[in-house]
Amino acid sequence: MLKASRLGVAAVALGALALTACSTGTTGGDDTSSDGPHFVYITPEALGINEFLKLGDSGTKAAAEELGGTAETFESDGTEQSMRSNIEAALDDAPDAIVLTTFQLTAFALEYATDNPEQPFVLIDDCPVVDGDLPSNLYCAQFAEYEGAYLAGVEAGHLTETGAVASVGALDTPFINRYTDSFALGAQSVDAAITDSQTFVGGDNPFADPVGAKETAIAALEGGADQIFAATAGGNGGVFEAAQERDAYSYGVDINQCGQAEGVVVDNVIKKIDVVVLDQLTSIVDGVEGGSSTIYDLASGGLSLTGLEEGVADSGCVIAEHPEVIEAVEAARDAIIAGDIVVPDPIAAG
Amino acid sequence: MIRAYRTPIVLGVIALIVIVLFGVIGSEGDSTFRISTSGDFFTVPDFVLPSRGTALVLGIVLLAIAAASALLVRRGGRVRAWVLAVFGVLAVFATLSWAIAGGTLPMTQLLQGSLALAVPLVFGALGGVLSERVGVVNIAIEGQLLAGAFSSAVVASLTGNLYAGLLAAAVAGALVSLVLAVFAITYIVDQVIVGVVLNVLVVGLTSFLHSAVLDSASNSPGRLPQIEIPLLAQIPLLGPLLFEQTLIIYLMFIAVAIVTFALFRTRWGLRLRAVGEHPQAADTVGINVARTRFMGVTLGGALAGLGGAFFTLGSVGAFSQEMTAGQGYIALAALIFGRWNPILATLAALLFGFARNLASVLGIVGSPVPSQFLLMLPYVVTLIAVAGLAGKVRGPAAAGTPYIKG
Repeated sequence: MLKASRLGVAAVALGALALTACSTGTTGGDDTSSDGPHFVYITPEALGINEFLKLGDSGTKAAAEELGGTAETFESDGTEQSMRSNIEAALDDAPDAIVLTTFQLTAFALEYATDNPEQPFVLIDDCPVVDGDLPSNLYCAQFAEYEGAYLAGVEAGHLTETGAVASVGALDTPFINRYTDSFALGAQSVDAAITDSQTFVGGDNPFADPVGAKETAIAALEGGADQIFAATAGGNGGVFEAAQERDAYSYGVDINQCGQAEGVVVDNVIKKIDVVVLDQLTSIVDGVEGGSSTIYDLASGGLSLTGLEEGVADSGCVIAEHPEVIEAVEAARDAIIAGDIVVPDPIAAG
Repeated sequence: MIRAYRTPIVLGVIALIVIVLFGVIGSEGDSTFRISTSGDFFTVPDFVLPSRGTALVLGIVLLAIAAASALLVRRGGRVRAWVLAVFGVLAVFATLSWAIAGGTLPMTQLLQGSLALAVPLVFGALGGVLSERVGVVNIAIEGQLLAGAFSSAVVASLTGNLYAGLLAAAVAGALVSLVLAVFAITYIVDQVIVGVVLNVLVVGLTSFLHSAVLDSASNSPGRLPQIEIPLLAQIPLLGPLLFEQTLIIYLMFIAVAIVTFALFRTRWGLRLRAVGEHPQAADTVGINVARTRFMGVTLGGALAGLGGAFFTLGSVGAFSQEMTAGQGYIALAALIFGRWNPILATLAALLFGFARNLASVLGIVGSPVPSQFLLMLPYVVTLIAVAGLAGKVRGPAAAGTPYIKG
């Protein structure tokens, strides 16, 4: 009897292993023996339908081509073991740079950059907090999300009919407040009388809870808002669904999310990870010293709105129907770049 | 000695908090409770109460209840569940009148949202009740919900039929629990371990398929339409809540009724419970323990799977990775707080849904409570409920122990 039960455990465990194993893998992989620089891009999760990570993948390959080199991509499957083994596999190649994306890889970036001082690492969308100096072979690239969210707020300020805007965040933290607070500021820059409400998803899994995000959004829309900003990561689909039900407009983040709910999503605060990767890899090839964090804002072009980019007409975004609002947003963007408008950073404010 | 007075002491402390914090310190202004919505049959006027006065009066009533229950305990009695329920409702009402001082609370919307957030919890808890009543601990509720959410989205998208999606969700939930049953009953693997492994397995499987296989054609099932029951739907407060919902929510009400009736009023239910309480005795009188357990576990999985369909077909309209967001574990808490009783577990699930939605609604009304505290609310409620009021709970005696015939 005991033997049977052990077999059972083993079978279940094997099944789980087999499943996780098949989601790890490499894609791309040009000929690594060529003369130009070689880069490895490591994701925390499978590329799959994650447009943000996919943009990093195509961006790294395009950057390599631009620099006359090659690139390959190692996809992790969301587990720490897979991230670790991907980084170690990349280290064996000793490429000219290893590109890591999102906060999920932050701890590893610091650890491996410290242990391998000769190997340059690029960390995108986060930077480790350390006492003293960052390792000089670590190049952080972060975004000034608050500037983009402010511009989205300007759009909301123009489009609101009820005079009330709202935002749904995953959690009430300074990082998420970069979106929620700045969105309100942008709307109120159009009309100081516009009211703002902020609610947060919370719960066990605030970053992947579309049902919780939807109910939170409905509460906000019942409160009178007709423009709602979705800063809930994996929960954004739920916010769009709520906006669709209540005939409201919504705003997305990171990539163009307009296709998820046609006629509902007005615009998105997009992080142009491809621009960032090219910029960072160029400085590494040029021999620029690392150990610092570069902030990509509206001025440097790493951050933008879908509505401010080319191809807005085909973006599926509501903003394409409002050229007069786009003009107002362009004016606001130029004022921010010129320093006439200073959007405060909730993280710096503590 | 102190143990016996635990309930009155907890009640007394809550009553004092209400009197001091909400009454004496309190906040000025009127609290408005909006009961009607625009589509109602007749309009109930808004309910306006002075915030501090209401909290004071309610606090004194609460204190009286606490004192009465202390007297009752002294005479050797026990505080009844309905007294606790009345106390709880009054305490919540006092808290609300404080938290929304100067604002308007939309009651209909508050309760509607609570119900929506509670649906997967109710289905999950019902599934857990069936499984644990036959003696198999079901940690895998989360996995059953997720499997249901995934397969309902895929099947409904591919067939274009939402009801096929509902059916697929039940089948998927049943399949996950069938794996649990095979390992737990046939191979006598530790039930908790199998449950945990199953949860991980379903998360991995659905995440992998979601990112590797699904595209917009196979993940756009749409949502179930709202079915409005004429006339009844226009009753203020109750109408939108009970008679203007999607099919899944009607199925939920029916499922609670059927599970309760079947479990406690039929011979079939008696056999189920016998197997969970004392399998040797059940075996002696000729009940096939293994088969009964398989049936209970699989049926429970089908119910939990159906609850998973709510995430996709009932709410968001598309599957996303790990979208059940830990609700399966909250359902497990509701099941234990509900003492393995379908109706009590449903009430517990509704309470959790209420606490969760209250956080959002209060955030909008503009209450003086910080948002971090509001997000903490569901867990505070759970803690008070389980530690302070539920008292000693006892599950089915044979839950978790395999039955080896011999």
